[in-house]
Amino acid sequence: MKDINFFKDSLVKLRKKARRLFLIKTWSLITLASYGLVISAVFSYHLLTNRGNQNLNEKIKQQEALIESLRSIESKQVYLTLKTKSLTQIINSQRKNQEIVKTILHLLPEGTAVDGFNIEEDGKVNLSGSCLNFKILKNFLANLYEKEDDSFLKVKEVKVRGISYGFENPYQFNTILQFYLGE
Amino acid sequence: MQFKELKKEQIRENLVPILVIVVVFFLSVTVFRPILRNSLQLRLENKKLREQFESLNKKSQLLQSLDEVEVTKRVAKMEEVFPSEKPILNLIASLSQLAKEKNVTFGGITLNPGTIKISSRVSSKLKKREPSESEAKKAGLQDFLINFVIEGKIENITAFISGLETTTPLMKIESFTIALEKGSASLNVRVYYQTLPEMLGEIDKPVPLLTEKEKEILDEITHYRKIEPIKTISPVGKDNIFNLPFNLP
Repeated sequence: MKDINFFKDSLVKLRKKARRLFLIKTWSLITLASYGLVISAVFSYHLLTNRGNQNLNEKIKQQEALIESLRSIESKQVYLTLKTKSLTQIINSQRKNQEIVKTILHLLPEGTAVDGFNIEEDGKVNLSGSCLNFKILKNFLANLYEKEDDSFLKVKEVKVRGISYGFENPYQFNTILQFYLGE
Repeated sequence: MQFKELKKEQIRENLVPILVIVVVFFLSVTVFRPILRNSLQLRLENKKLREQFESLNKKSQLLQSLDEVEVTKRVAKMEEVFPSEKPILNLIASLSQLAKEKNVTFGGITLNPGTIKISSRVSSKLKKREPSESEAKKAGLQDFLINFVIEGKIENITAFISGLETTTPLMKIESFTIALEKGSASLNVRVYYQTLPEMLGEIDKPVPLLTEKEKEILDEITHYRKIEPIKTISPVGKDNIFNLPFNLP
């Protein structure tokens, strides 16, 4: 005997609908809960970071106070480095000039007078002066070309710009010297 | 009537998801978005603060590691060699003393010192953190020229010139004229000094350190001679006119 149920289709439909509704409700609530969790996590992170920043600010203040207490040594160190930087440049230039002057004095024979002596930055020297007689002038020029001593600078190039004969200062010369300045 | 019931039932069925959507939207606008934005901002701030703390910590450690006695000694020597003010008195005293030592006569001095600034001692109390624009420009290398004549034997003149190299304050020969038969030389010397910076810069600015070459220079200048300017000490106050000019036994 076969059962005849006229509500079968409706029942299936209702069951499906109930199941769908249940799923929708459940997932909605799960979504809401998850969202709540995300908000809580972000909020906690916000609080933690804020707290961390406050701590860091306090530590920074402590460090600043410590640095302020060491201001005396800091100012000395700043002073020292600033001046040493300038001094390094000056000393190099000073030594170069000093060496050039000593070399020129070494090269000048007795009876020579230097009227003009100017050092340029690249080691070029404008040297002008006078000699009492021709022999001294010759000696001087010979010194420029030949006289070499390891304790003095070496002459790289000599340009004699002019030699003149006058009344007061008999033999006048004007030269440009270029020295080897090492590095 | 039946239609209304149906509608109500439909709404009741979808009430939960609709409410969830409304709540999520509401929370997103009012809570989530501002908190997220603040958190990101705080995170950036945190990174900056961490970096600032690191640099300050490094700086304070470095400052603590510096030997204050040694630095002070070096500062004092530097001030002798490369002063912060125009070294007029020291300069003349040094030159005349050096001339005496090297047996040359010293004279014919011409100098144009201009303004002599009286300030800037190396003291922490004077230093400010914030620089003004004019102050920043002022701190710089300065020099002036001095011309003088020395007379003597050529070897003494050479010795004097050599002595100039290691005599304080720092000098550089710019040009000279010399007459060997007369034994006289006229020197143009440039004297250097550097005014002190009036500021220290920002507190988190790293401490400048010396390079090896600069340390060598500092070691070298310790050998530079300082000649004290001659101070005339005249008696002050009242004299006891009844004092005997000699001590009685």
